[in-house]
Amino acid sequence: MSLYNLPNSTTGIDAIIVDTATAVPIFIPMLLMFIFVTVLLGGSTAQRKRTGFSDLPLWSVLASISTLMVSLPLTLVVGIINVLTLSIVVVVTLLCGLWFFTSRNRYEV
Amino acid sequence: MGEIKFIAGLVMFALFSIAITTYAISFANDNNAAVDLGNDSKFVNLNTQIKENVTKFSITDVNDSSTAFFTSTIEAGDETMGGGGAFKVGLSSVLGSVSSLMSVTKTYLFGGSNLFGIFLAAISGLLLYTGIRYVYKTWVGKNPD
Repeated sequence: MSLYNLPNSTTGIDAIIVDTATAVPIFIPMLLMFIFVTVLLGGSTAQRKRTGFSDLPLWSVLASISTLMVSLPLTLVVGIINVLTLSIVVVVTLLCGLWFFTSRNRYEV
Repeated sequence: MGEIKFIAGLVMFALFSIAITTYAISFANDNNAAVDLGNDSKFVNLNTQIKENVTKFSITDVNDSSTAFFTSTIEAGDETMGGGGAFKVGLSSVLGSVSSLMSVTKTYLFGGSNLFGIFLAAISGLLLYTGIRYVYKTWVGKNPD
C-alpha cells in the first residue's frame, strides 16, 4: 500500500492539481496562507526598509486581495478548493478592509 | 480619527465589501465556476444587506439630515448667528454639480450600468454629509477639521 497515489499526468495539469488537492486536503489552504503571509511580510518589510515604518493595514488588504485573486481561478474546476475555504478568504479580505478603512495613518492627527 | 474620517471610513468599507462580494459572485456566474459563492445564502444576504444600508445612508439619511440641517437654527451668541445662513449658502448648489458629474460618469465611464449606481450615490451622499459637518462645525465655532 502506497502512502500517496501518483496523479495521472496524461490527463492534463488540472488533473494533477485536483489529485494533489484530493490526496492532501490541506494543500490549497496552506498555499493560500503562504501567498497571504508572503505578500504581507514581504511588502511591509520592504516598506519599513525604505521609509522607516510599515503600513500593516494596507499590506493586509493587498495580501488578502492577492490571495482572493489566486483563489478565484481555483474555483473553476471541481475538487481544488471548496466553498468553505473560499468563504474564509473572502471574510479575511473584508476584515482586512475594515481594519484598513478604520485605521489611522501615522500622518493623521 | 475624527467623526468625519470615521464615517467616511465606514462608508468606504461598505463599498469595499459590496465590491469584493459582488466580484466573487459575478466571477462564478460569468465563468460557470464549480465552486460558486453565490450558492452560499449568507454571502448573498450580506451583499444585499450592505447595499440596503449604504443606500439608506446615502439617500434617506443624508437627505433627511440635510433637509433638517438647512432649516435648523441655534441660539445666537456673540459670534454665532441663529440661522447660520451665511454658512449654509453654496453647499447644496455646488454639490449639484458633483451629482451632474456623477451622472455623466455613470453614462460614459460605466456604460450606464446600474451596478455602479450605488457607488456614485454613496460618494455623492458622503460628500454632502462631509460638507454638512464642516458647515456645522464652522457655524457653531468649532474647528472644522
